[in-house]
Parts: sequence; structure tokens; C-alpha cells
Amino acid sequence: MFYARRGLLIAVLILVMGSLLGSAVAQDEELVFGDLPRSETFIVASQAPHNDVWDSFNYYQAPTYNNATGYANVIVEPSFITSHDFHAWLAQSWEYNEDGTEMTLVITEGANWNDGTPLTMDDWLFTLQYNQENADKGINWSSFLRDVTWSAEGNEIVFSLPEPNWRFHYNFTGIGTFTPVPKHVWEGQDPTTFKNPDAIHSGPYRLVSSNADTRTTIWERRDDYWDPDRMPAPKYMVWLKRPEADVAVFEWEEGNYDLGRMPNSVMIRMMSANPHIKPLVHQDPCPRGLIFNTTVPPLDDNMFRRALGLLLNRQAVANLANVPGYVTPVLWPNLGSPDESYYDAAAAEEFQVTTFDPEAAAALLDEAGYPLVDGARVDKDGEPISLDALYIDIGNPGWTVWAWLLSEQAQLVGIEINPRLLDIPTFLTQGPNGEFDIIFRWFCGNLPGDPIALFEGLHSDYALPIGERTGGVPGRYSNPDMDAIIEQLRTANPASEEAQALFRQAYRLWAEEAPYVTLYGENEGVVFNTEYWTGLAVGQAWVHWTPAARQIIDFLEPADR
Amino acid sequence: MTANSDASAGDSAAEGQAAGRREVFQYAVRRFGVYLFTLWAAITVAFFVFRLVPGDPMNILLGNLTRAEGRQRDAAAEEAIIAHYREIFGMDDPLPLQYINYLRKAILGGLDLGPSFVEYPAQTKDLVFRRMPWTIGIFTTSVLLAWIVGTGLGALIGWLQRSRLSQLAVVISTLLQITPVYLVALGLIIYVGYIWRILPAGGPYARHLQPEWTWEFISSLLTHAILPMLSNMIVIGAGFTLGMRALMISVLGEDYLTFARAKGLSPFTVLKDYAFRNALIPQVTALAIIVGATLNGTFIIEILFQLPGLGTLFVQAMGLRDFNTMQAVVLFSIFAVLTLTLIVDLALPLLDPRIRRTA
Repeated sequence: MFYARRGLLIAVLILVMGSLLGSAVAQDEELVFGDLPRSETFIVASQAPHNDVWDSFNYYQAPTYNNATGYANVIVEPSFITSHDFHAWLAQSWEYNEDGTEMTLVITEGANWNDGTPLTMDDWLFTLQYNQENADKGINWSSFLRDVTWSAEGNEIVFSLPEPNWRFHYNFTGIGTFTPVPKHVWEGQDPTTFKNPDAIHSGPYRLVSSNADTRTTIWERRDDYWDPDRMPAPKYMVWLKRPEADVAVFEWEEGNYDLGRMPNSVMIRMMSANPHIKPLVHQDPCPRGLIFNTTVPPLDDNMFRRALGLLLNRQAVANLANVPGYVTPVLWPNLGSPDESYYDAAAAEEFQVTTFDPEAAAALLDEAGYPLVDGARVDKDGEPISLDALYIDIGNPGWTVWAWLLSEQAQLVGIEINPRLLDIPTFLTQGPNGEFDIIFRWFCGNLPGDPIALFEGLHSDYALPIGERTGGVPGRYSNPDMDAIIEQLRTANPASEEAQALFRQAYRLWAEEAPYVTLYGENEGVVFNTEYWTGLAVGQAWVHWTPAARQIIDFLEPADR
Repeated sequence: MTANSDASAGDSAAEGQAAGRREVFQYAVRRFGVYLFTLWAAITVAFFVFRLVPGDPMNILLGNLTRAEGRQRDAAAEEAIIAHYREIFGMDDPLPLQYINYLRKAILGGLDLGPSFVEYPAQTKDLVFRRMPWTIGIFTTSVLLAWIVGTGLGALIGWLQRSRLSQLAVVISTLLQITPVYLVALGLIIYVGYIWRILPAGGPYARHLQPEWTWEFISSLLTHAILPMLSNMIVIGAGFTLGMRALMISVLGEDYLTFARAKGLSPFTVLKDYAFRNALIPQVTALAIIVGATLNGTFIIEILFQLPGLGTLFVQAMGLRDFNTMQAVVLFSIFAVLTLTLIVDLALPLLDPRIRRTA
């Protein structure tokens, strides 16, 4: 009886141990989101914008753009990816004729859509026609086709332009630019209402599910992707909207996310809690600056504006910006190492475009006729000068501290500058409407070898009455000399010596006039969890929040666990 | 004589009843008129106030896009986009015309509240109806539960006011009531969700699931609902507890309770039929008021727990200055609060004959 009981006990013990062992073996393969192996799943914790569209994969419409689903980032593939340089993708190259009135685009052959259908010249031609026909519906990539005709032969599309335009290729090379759509999906559809429910485009993943309640999109890699050399390693990608930072920090500490953004203030805590968490830093393509409202006295005086520029301690602001130690005060037009073909180094020095020198500022103010009376600078009417500096707070000290540092320095030379915090919607409205004295702003669109975006917005065409929205630099700057240079630059080949000379002239005029001033070029931190995936490193040519994310997933490699 | 007097007494009783019914009917009509007027006034104020808030939806949209894409669109492209959407949203019309159109479509167009920016091209009405169940499910259920638990507990600790346990309960309730719901929710998320890992810390249900009638989905939904509901219940329930306790204490001093005890009724009968019933009436009114007053707290709960309810929707809409959606959420809130108040007002005479007589 005793032996029988002992035998039974041993049998039970063996069973229990066996089941424990079995479950341990089974648990080796950690599963997430139902049945996805964690080691094969790349999880992006995004901050969705306020647009909360998770059931429409319509990239034509501005209001349905949601960079949190991953569709715009890794499924929609552009013609060329611009990330420090141009990378051929759905198109191979472009070439202009002698006078810039024709551009030939060579498309990539052998590509296919993520439903397996070949991506052909038919799709390109359909998309061009479709966009042109729907141009009045406020859709993306349509206005540039106005008065443009095209013809196709082999793998080439020849665009005939109504006037010389050496920048026509920007409509294919920039971020969020023209890309073909599948004819078999979009034909007969209204671009303003069609949702493209299966998320068809040429990226290496297919849609598994997307859920607006949980704000989660799950993608599965497809084996028939058209470019095997660019096949990403993760079998699954999950893009989700992360919770508020106070809560998301726990998810990061537990290793539940692989890539995403978090406030700098919690980074150190996260890295201490989870040694796999690394900060990655990339250069934001939009350097920061301050715009002056040139219709408001004394900001209508370029010497006064330059004096304010001299009161900006750019290095101090940069040191407090998102990722301390990685920021660069800007010597525009180019970030980092300026190309002297396009900017006038002598003008930069002469007009001290990035110099912090309060004494020089005071001297300039005296010279310009803004004397110090009873400790306060007075304007031409003898009234004390008081200006508002508008800023927003998105958790990055660099975006806020400039106003307070400027205010402090201005006070020392007798000018009252009142920092005013705005909520983002108000800020995004008052800026373009010109309802400000001094306002913080990012300057996007500075392409390699062509800084026209930094000057184009200064044309007087954009100097609309206060209260009306303008698409340019919203300081209502107007100068016939600048207009003349910009008009020549619009049609000049940016690579030509003639254009480069014009750029140097524009730079000199800008430095002297200071309609806006530079602040700093920001490098932003992204959190990367190396527990399951490696391969991403500081300095790689990518920008996380744009279609260039398509490029970065190719760098991923499974971690050696 | 007797027959005549009986007949006249019967007539006067019938007349009295008819007059009573008339009065009740007039009260109901008057109350409903006030309800409709308040609803209209609130909608009108909301319509104009939201449009006075600085911020233009198109500017915000394009500003966000510039940041998201890292590029500045050319001005012509921006103008085309703006013109298109301003037309769709009727933003080019003068404000009074926009208001008239809004009311016309809302009343005559089958509650057509226009398109939404937040989830374009979804209609605002559909969006609100899709999100409403989350708010009603989590919020209303938790408030009702909080009311039931808080009322019961409050009655008990009011009845046993001199016991130490009762005094301790008062201290705890006071502490909980003054604690911001945000802190309670965050505490539950951190401890219950992440440190002890007892319940899911956020989301409406597991991220890989789709809504369907399966046990996996239903159980996921229920377990995800516990913490947000608990957050609400703790704070609101504490308030109900203290309120009911105070009402009970005031009722306990009334003569009719002394009389009931003197009649030899059991303490439970005195508590149930005399004290509790009389203290309950103001507590019912408080329920309707609390529903409206604590809706803001629910918005925070929804955001912290990532619930796709009306609170989250309102915050998103506010960020985009999506007037249609903001108005729709407010319209729903106003409608809910006013309707609840109306129901309570109409129901109170049924609960308390004194009110019926006054009415």
C-alpha cells in the first residue's frame, strides 16, 4: 500500500514537472497580439496625430493622413526616397532637356503591388491622369500637373512642362510626393471618399487588420515583394498609438515596444529600467527659426530685426533642446556644413547671422534710432517698445526657452518682450494669418543642392493682409529686390552657376534684412528597443516619421537572444 | 340628502382628481418646454463659443501635415486643399448662415451634423454614435454602481454614525472624494496594471481582437473595463457615500422616526421604510446632477485608459478645431444631462407625494 501510494506520488510529480517543463518550452516562443511570435514582430509605438483614421488607407487626402498606422510610412513607397540623398525606389532617375521644359522619368520595372498584381506603366499613366482629372477635389499631388502633358515609351515618361522648371522632379523626390496608385483598385473610385480598405500599395507588407478602437494596425510581410534585396527582416509589423507618456513608460520598460518617440524627461528612467532601450538621434529636416512680423513697427526696420537676432543665444537654446549635446546652431541655408556655392560666407560674418552679442545689439539699436530713455528703448514715436513672442510647448525645452532667453536679453537692452504660450491649434492659425510680433517656426523643404524653399516664402506674393492665411513665410515681408531674385531663381537650374550666384545674392539680402532669423537645427531622439531587433544606429540616413521609414526597416536585424 | 351629499362629494372628488391630473399635465408640459428651450440655448451658445475659440481647422491640418511629412507644400497645392475642405465644411458662409444651416440639417436632415475632420470622411453623427457606447457603457454603469454602493454604504454609516468603523469610513470616503480621478486612475494603472499585473492597464480590449460575439472578445472587453470603471466608482462613490450619510443623519433627528421607534418597529424597518426612503429623494436628484458634473472626469479616464469614447473624441476634435465634432459631443452631453434631469424632475413626484402636491 505504501509503495503504491509512493508510486502514485512519484507519477503525479513527474506529471506536474513534465507539464511545467512543457509549458516552459512552449513559453520559449513569446507570443504577442494573439499569435504573433514576439521575436518576429516589430512594434512601432507611434503618437498618432489628432486625425484618428484607422480604417482608410487613402493617401490622397490631407485629413485622412495618419502616420500611426504604418501605411504612409512603409506600405506607400515613393518614387525616390529623400534621406540625406536621393534613393531610387519606384523610379530610377530623372533627366531634363536643355532648356528645362521637358523631364524624363525612368520608372522601375518589375515592381508589384502588395496584392501580387504587377505595377506597370499603366498604373503610372492612370495615376497621372487620375490626379489631373481630380485636381479640383483638394487632393495631393495634383496641382503640379496643371498644364503639364506627358507621353510614355518603354519605361520612360516624358513630361512636357508649360515653362522651364528645373525643380519638377521635386514632385517625385520629396517626402510625401507623387507616387503611383494601383489602377485596378482606384479606377472608378472617388479620391475623396474611397478608403482603399485592403491598403494596397507596393510596400513589403500586407494588411492583416486595423482597428480604430484599439488604434492598432497589424501587417504581415509578403514573400512576393518585388525587390528581394530590400526584403525587411520582421515578419510582422505592428503599428499602434501609444498611451500617454505617463503610462507608455511602463510599456517601454517591459520591452513591449521596439521603436517610438518618448519625452526626453523619461528617457533616463526607461534606460535604467530596461538596458535594451537605446536613444537614436536623427537630424530633423526642418530647422527652427523665428519670424518677425515686418508690418509691425519697429519690426518693419531691418536694423531692429538684426538687433533682435544678436540677442538670441542660440547655443543656450540648442543645449536645452530635445536631445542635449546633439543639436547644431544653424548657419543657413544648409545645415551642418554649408555649401558655399549657395551661401555668402562674407555676408554671414558681416551681418552676424548666428552671433550672440548683446552689446552689438545695443549699439545697433542706438544707431538705428531706438534710444534708451529711462531704462527703456523707445520707438520712433518715443513710445516704449513692447513685443509679444509666441511659442508652443510640446515637451521640448528648445521650443519654449528661446522666448524666455530672448525676453531676458531684450530686457537688458531695454526692450520688453513678452513670451506668450499658445496651444498648438491657435499657434498654427495665428502664424499663417500673420497675427504675431515674433513667432517660432520650423522651416521645411530645404533640399540638397537647392535652398530655394528658404527664400521662396519671402516673395511679396505671400505678403497678404493680416488675418488672411499665407502659404509662405508669414512675416508679410515685401522687398522688390528679393522678389526679383526669387523670380529668377524659380526658373533657373539650381545646379547652374547663374542660380548659385543668385542664391548668394538672396542670402546676402536675407542676412542684411533679417525677415526671419535662424535658431537651431534640431536632432530628435527616437527610442529603440534592442532586445528583439538591432541594426538601427545613430547617423543612419533616415527620418522616422516620414515615408523614409520604409528605408529604415531594411536595416533591422533579429537580435541574438 | 345623503344620496345628494354623496353624489356631490363624488363629483368634487372627481373634479379634484381631474384638476390634479391637469396640474400634473401642465407641470409636465411646462417642464418639457423648459427642457427644449435649454437644449436650444445650449446648442446655440456652444455653436458660437466654439467658433470664437482661436484656431482654424485648415491651418491646423496643414501645419500638422508639414511637421508630419517634413516638407512644405507649395502654396498653390495648399490653397486648392483649403478651398475644397472649406466648401465641404461650409466655412466660407457667414456665421449666422452657418448656424441656420447647422440647425436646419440637424433638425430636418435626420440629425445631420456634418462631416468630421477627426475621422474624415466619416459623418459626425456616425462617429458620435460609434463612440457613445463606450462612454455610456463605462461611465453610466460606473456612476450607477457608485450610486448604489455609495447610497447603501452612506445609509449604513449614517445609521451607525457613532461607531468607530463608521467614523473611519467617513475619513476614507473624504480622502477618496478629494483625490483627483486622474491620480486614482494612474495609481490603478501603475499598481494593478503593471506592478501586480492583475488586470489590463488600458485599451478597450486586446489589441489583436476585432469586435465579435466570442467569449474571447467579451471576456477581454470586461476585464479591460474594470479599471476605468473602478477609477470612476471610487471617486464618485465616495461622494455619494458622504452625501447619503449626511442626509441620513439629518433624517434621523426627525420626529416621525422617534414615533416609529416608539411604535416598537424593528430597527431594520425603521431604517428601510422611514429613514432610508426619506433620505433617498435628494440622493436621486444628486445622481442626475453628478452625471453631468463628472463627465469631464470621464474624459480624463478615457484618455488615460485609451478608450475610444466621446471624451477622447472631444479632445481630438478640440486639437483640430473640428467644430462639427466638438458640437456633436457637446450636443450629446447636453442632451444626456438635460434628459436625465427631466426624467428625475418628472419622477420625483412619483417618489414623494409632497412634491406631487407642490407641483
